[in-house]
This record gives sequence, structure tokens and C-alpha cells, in this order.
Amino acid sequence: MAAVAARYPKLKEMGVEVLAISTDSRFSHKIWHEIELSKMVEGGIPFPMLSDPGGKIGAVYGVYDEEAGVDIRGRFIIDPDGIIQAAEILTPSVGRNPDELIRQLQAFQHVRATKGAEVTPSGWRPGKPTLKPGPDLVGKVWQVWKVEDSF
Amino acid sequence: MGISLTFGKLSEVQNVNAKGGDVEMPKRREFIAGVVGGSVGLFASASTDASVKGGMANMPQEVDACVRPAAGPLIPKTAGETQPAKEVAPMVPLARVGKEAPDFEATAYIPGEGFKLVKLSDYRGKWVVLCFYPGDFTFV
Repeated sequence: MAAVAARYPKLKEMGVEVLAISTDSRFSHKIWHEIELSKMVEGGIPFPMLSDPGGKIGAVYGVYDEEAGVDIRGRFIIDPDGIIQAAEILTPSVGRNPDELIRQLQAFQHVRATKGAEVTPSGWRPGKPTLKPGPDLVGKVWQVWKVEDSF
Repeated sequence: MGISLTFGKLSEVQNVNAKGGDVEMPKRREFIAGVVGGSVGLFASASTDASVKGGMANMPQEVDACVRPAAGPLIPKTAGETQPAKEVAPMVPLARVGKEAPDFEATAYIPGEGFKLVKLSDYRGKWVVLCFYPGDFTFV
């Protein structure tokens, strides 16, 4: 959570809101924030920390682990129309990569800005070539995009 | 102590206030306000104000707007309407990429603001990153 918070200024600049959610109570969130998170990130966590008692919301999102009784690490990108554009679900031992989150958001925002006229190939970042899907592109991606552009 | 307070009379609550100096008490009173609501809730928030003036003057003043339980998952009933999903069993995952994000209402702690109810659909028109995580105080 702290790493996402550290990238929050960038996310805010992109017009992105963050909602963190776990099965803990709001009281637990407050104390965790007070004694630990606020010491990891300057200014503390700048977004709401939601409570999902019993994992009811997590169950609907397919991230609730009944055995452990917790919501596992699931990250959903939701666009301004309320459509889920991306989902990433990890078991608890491995953390997320906030920079990859930002890259995906940039790509989804770019596609939305072009109303789908442009799509973003593997590893796309702002400034890299996009693809314009259509009959003319069939069989010719190799001419306009190189595998090295992914990296 | 906190539990007896829940059932205590207003005067007993005032007694505890009068002892003062106990910084844990405002949090407990906020909790009681959340459970009992109504007039006691109003009283509790007023006494919290007093504590803020006392020992926590440099802290931002946070509010407790969670005076009722959150609805949790909300599922579509008819066009444009939603209802709490607890009335519908069993719970199956509904979230899919490319589909509308299932709506929900949850209680939340917002640093600097306090306890509030947050509804996903209130964020319509904005990009949202919804991050589930296994628990507070976990290491990763």
C-alpha cells in the first residue's frame, strides 16, 4: 500500500483515484496508518482505506480466500464508465509493481483518448509507437512495430 | 471499560470524560457513536471536539460519518437501481474485465478526514484503481 501511496502524486496528475480495501475494520486501518504507514510515506496514505468485513465485496470480485478469511492481493483498473479494464490477482507473498500499474493506466487512457482508433502493443509507454487496427494492418504489424519496442 | 460505556447512561459517559487525560477515550466514544447513533452520537462527537482542543490540537480533526453499517456489495435490481447483495445467495464472483465493476458500499478510514461511507459508483467519471490487500500490518 505504501508503494502505491508513494506514486500517488503521479496517479493524481493522471486523474486516477485509489481505493484500498481489506477485511480489516476501519479502526484497524486508522491505527495501522497512524503507527506505521504514516512513517513510510511522507504525509501518510492519501486515499480511502475501505473495510470489507467477511470478504463480501472480495467474494464478488473473486479475491476472497475463504480458508484464510482475507481478500488476497487483487488490483482492478476501472474506467470512467465504471468498466473494469484490467485485473491482476497475486497470492499474498508477492507485492505489486506500482510502475506497471501506471504504465497500464497510461495505455488505457491513451486508447480511450483515441476512442479505440489506436491500440498499444506489448510494453507500450507514452512516446512509443501504437498500432491502428484495421484491414490494412493485417499481416503487417512487423513493418510498423518491432519486438524491441516492448522493452 | 468501553463495553460498559455502550450501555451506560449519558451521565456516566460524562464522568469518564471528566477524568480527562486519556487519549484512548475519544476513539472509543467514536465507536459508540457509530453503534448507538442518534443523540448519543451527537453528544459523543461534541465531546471529541473537546478532547481535540485538549491534547491533540496539532492533529487534523477527523469525523465519524459511519453511523450505520455499510451495505457491502450492491447488485443491480432493475435498470439503474441496486440492492444489497446479502439478500441474494450464493455469492458468486461477478467481476470480469470488460464488464461493469460490481458496485458496493463500504465503511472507510480516510486519513485526515475520519470514518466515512464510500460507494464505488460515486467515482463514476473518474479512473479508479481498486486495490484489495490481505490485511493491515502484513509485511509485503
